[in-house]
Amino acid sequence: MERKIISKNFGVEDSWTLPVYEANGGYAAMRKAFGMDPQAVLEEVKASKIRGRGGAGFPMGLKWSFVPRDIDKPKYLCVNADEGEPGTFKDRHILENDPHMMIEGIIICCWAVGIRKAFIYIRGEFHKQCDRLDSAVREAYEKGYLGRNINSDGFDLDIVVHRGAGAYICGEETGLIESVEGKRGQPRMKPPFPALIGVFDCPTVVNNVETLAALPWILQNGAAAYAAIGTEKSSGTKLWSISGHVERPGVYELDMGVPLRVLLEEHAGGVRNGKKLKAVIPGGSSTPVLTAEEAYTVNLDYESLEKAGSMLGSGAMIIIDEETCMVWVLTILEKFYAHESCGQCPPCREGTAWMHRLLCKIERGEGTLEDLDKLEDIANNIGGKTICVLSDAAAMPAQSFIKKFRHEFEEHIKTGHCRFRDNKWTAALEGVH
Amino acid sequence: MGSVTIEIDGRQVTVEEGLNVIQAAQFLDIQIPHFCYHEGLGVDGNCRMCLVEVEGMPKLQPACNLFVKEGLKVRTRTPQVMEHRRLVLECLFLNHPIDCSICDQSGECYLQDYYLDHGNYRSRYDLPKRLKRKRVDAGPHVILDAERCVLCARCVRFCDNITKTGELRIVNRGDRSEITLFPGKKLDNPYSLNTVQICPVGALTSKDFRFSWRVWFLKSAHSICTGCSRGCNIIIDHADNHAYRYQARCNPQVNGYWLCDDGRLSYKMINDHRLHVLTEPSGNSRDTFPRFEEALSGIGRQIEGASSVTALMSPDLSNEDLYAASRFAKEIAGSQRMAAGSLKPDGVEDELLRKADAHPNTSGCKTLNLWGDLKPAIDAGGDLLLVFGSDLLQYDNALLKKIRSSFKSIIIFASHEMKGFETGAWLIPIACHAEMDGSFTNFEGRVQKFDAAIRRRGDTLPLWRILGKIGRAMQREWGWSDLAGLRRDLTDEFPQWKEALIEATPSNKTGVPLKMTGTKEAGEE
Repeated sequence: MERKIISKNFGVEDSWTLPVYEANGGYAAMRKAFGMDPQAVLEEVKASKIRGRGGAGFPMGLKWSFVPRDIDKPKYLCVNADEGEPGTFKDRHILENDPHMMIEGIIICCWAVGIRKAFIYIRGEFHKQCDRLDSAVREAYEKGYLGRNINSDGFDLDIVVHRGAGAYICGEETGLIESVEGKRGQPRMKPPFPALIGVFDCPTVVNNVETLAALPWILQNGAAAYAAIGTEKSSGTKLWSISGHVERPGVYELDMGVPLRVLLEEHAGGVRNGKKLKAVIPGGSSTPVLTAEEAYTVNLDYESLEKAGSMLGSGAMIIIDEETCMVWVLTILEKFYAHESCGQCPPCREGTAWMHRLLCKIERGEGTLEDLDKLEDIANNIGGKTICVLSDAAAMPAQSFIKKFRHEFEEHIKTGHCRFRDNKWTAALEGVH
Repeated sequence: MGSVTIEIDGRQVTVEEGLNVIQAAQFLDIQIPHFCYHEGLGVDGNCRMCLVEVEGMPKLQPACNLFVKEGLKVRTRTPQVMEHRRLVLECLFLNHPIDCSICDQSGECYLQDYYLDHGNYRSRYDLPKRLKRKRVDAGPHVILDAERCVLCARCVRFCDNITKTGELRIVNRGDRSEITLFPGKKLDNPYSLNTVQICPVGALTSKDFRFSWRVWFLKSAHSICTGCSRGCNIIIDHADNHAYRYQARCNPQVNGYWLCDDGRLSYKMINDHRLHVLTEPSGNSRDTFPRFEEALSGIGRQIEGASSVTALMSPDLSNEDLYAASRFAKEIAGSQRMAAGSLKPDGVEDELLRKADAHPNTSGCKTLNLWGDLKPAIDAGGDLLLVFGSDLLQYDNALLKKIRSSFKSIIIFASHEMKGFETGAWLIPIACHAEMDGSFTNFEGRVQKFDAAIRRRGDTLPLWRILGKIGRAMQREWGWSDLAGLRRDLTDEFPQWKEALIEATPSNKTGVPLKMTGTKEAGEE
C-alpha cells in the first residue's frame, strides 16, 4: 500500500526549503520532542520498532540505548548519507527533496541521546544534494533550530556536513567514522562498537538518512501508529528504489511487507518493453539474487526476504529481464567489489579481485569448469572472515548467481560465447584501477 | 589485575587479565599464526590469520582482539580454522612474487613458516599476477619491495605510533594497495630499521644486511647494545666469527621491542678497526716479537719500576673489567691517581630510547666509585700511565700531545686501534663485549648481563684475564681463574649487584616477552 510519510513533500515546489517544509508542518515534531524527556523520546522510538534503513536493519531504539548515558566524553551522531550500494538511490531523493525532514530527525535523535554534535557524511558524488543539504543546514541555523540554545533550555546542537571522496566502504559505519576523522576510509575492528568508541574515540550513533527522516512522523503520530504500519517485525514504510529493466524506475514509498509483484507491476510498470522477468536483486547489489519465480511470490519485509534466501538490505530492487546475461551482470558486480575493497583483509582484498579475474576469464570464453568451482569455493570461503561485511557483500551475489543460474555459466564455458550479447564490451569489464 | 582461567584446545591456563588469546596461548606453547599483531604495536586485526573458534560464537574470531575472560573456550586447530588459514595464505600468495631464493627474509619469513604449517597446497592461481614497485629506495637504511608485502601495516603503525614520524602509508584500494612514502619524504627517522625487523615478510629489507648472509647460517647470542647508556637488549647475529647484525630483543623495562638505527648499526665496531696483536712501544708487533708471555713480563717490569702511576678507565668497559682494572691499578701498580671518565662528546637524546651519554657503563663506573674527571689526572703527569679502554683518548689532539709529553711510559689496554699511539706505548689487545661474558649497568642502574657471541681473535683476551696474567708474570698471587670468582669478589664489595650478577637468571632469559605471567595447569589433552 502506498503511504507517504517520508516522501510526502517529494514533488512539492521548492520542497527542500525551510518555508515550504514548515508550511507542511515541519519542525513541529522537534518542538514536541523538546517538550518530552529524552528518555521518553528514546522509548517512543523503541516502541515504533523502526529498524535501520541502511541495510542491516538493526533496531534504531536499541542502537541508541547502547550509548552510555552518563559519560564525561562528548557523544556524536554520524548520519550515513554515503549512499553507495549499487541500485540504491532513496537517500539521494530525501537529501534532494526534503533535507529538512532529515535534519529534524537529527535534532530529535540528538535530543534523545544527548548529543551536541552531528556529522552528516554525504557521498562525494552527490553534488546537487550536498548543495541543497548545505543550504538547508544554513536555513536551520538561521532559524535557530541549530546552534546554541535551540530549545530555549540550553540545548546546543551543531551539524557538520562532511563530504566523502568516493569510496563505497565509507558507507560502512566504522569506515565512515575513520573517514570523518580524516583518516583513510577503512573499517575498524568491532568490538569496540561505535556506540562506545566511535568518532574520535567517543560514543557515537551512526544512523541512515532514511531512518532519521522517519522520526518526525513517529514523534508526531506516535509509536503505535508507526508500529501498526507494515508487518509485525518490520514496521513502517520504506522507500523502495527500483531500477534496471523496468518501465518506470524510481523511488516509491510503500508499506513494509508489500509484495514485490505489487511494487514491480502496479507501481513501476512491470518489466520494460513487455519482456519477461529473469531475476531480481532485491536489496542492493550485495543481496542474493532471486529468480523470477521467487521474486513473484516474496513480500518486501525483513523476514520474508530472509526466508526467501535473500535480504531486504537497502530496499533497492534491480530488475533483470530475460535477455540479460547473468555472467555479465555478475562480472560487473564483482568488478565493483574488487574496485571498492579497502584492501585491509587478505580474503577480501585478494578474493574479490580473484573472483573478478576468473569471471572475466569466463566472460571472455576462456573459462573452465574448474574456474567455476574455484569461483564458488572463493565465494563460499571469504564471507564472514573479514573486519567488515564487504567480503560477504561480494560473496553473496557470486554464490547466488552461480547457484541459481549455473547453466548460464556452464554454457559460457562450454560454448565459449554468450547467447545474449557479443563480447565486444568485455574489455571494459576488465582492469580494476 | 586479577587472573582468569581460560581453556585453549582443551587445556586450561590461568593468565593475567588484559592479555589476548595469542599471548595466553603462548603459555601452553600454542602458537596462533598472525602477521599484523605485534605486542609492541597492539591490535589491528587486518591480517585475519589469527582467527580461532570460540565456544558460543558462530563466526571465527580474531585471537588478537579476543581478550581473556573467565570461562573463555577457544579451539585453535579445528578443521574450520585450518581451512581458513589455508585460505588466507592462498590469498596472500596470489600476487606474491615467491622469490624466496633471492629474498633476504628467507628463513625468518612468516609466509614461509605458515605455508609449511598451514598451507602445503598446490596453487590454484593461473592468472597473471599484479605487479607492484620493487627495489624502492625507502630511506637511508631501508629498501621496499611492494610485491612481497602482505599489507599488515606494522611498519605504518610503527612510524605512526612509536616514532610518531608517520612517513609511511598504504595507498590505493583492494589488491592495488601498497605501502608507500609520503611524496618527498623518506623513511628517515632514527629508528627506521625497526620496520625491517618487524616486517613479517621480505617487503622491507635493511640496506646494510641485504644480500650479506643467509639467516639460517647465522648464530645468535644475547647481548647489550653499547651505543649509549640505555643498554638496549639485543641479539648479535654472527657467522664465521663475524658479526652481521644486531636485532632488538624485547625487554619491556629497558627498550621495549625497539632499537635505534645507530645502535643497530654499531655492530660494525665488533669487526672493524680492531686491535688484534700486542704491540710494544717501538711499534713492533707480534710478528717480530717472540712471545706474548714475554711481553707481559716486560710490561710487569715496567709497572714495577714506575715511581708514580696514573690509571684511566673507560665507561665502555664491563662492570667486571672495571672492577678488575681498579683492583689491578691499586694493588699491583700502586696507582696514585685513578679515574674513569669520558672525553667523548654527548650524543643525541630523545624520548624514545637514545641517551646523550654515549657509553654503556657510566653507571657502573659510578657505582664502583671510579667516576671522576680525567683532565686533572692527565695534567698532573707522572711516570706511567695505564689506560683501560680504547675510546678514552681519541677525541682531542692537543690532549694527546700532552699525554705523550707528561708521562714517561704509557700502557694501553684497548679493543680497537689507537690513533696517535702507533708507537711510544704498549698496546695490549682486549676483547670487546661481543667476545666475552660480562655485564653493563645502564643509566638507571640496571645491571644487565651479556653473553659472548664470537671467538676472540689474535692475542685478545678479556681485560680481567690479561691483568691476571700480568699479575702472575710479576710473581704476584693476584687475579681470578674464572668470571664467577671475579663476580663473587665484586659482589662481596658491592652487594647491591649480588642479585643481578649472581642470583639472576642467565642473560639469555632476561628478555622475557612482555609482562606475561601465567601458570600451566594440567588439563586433558
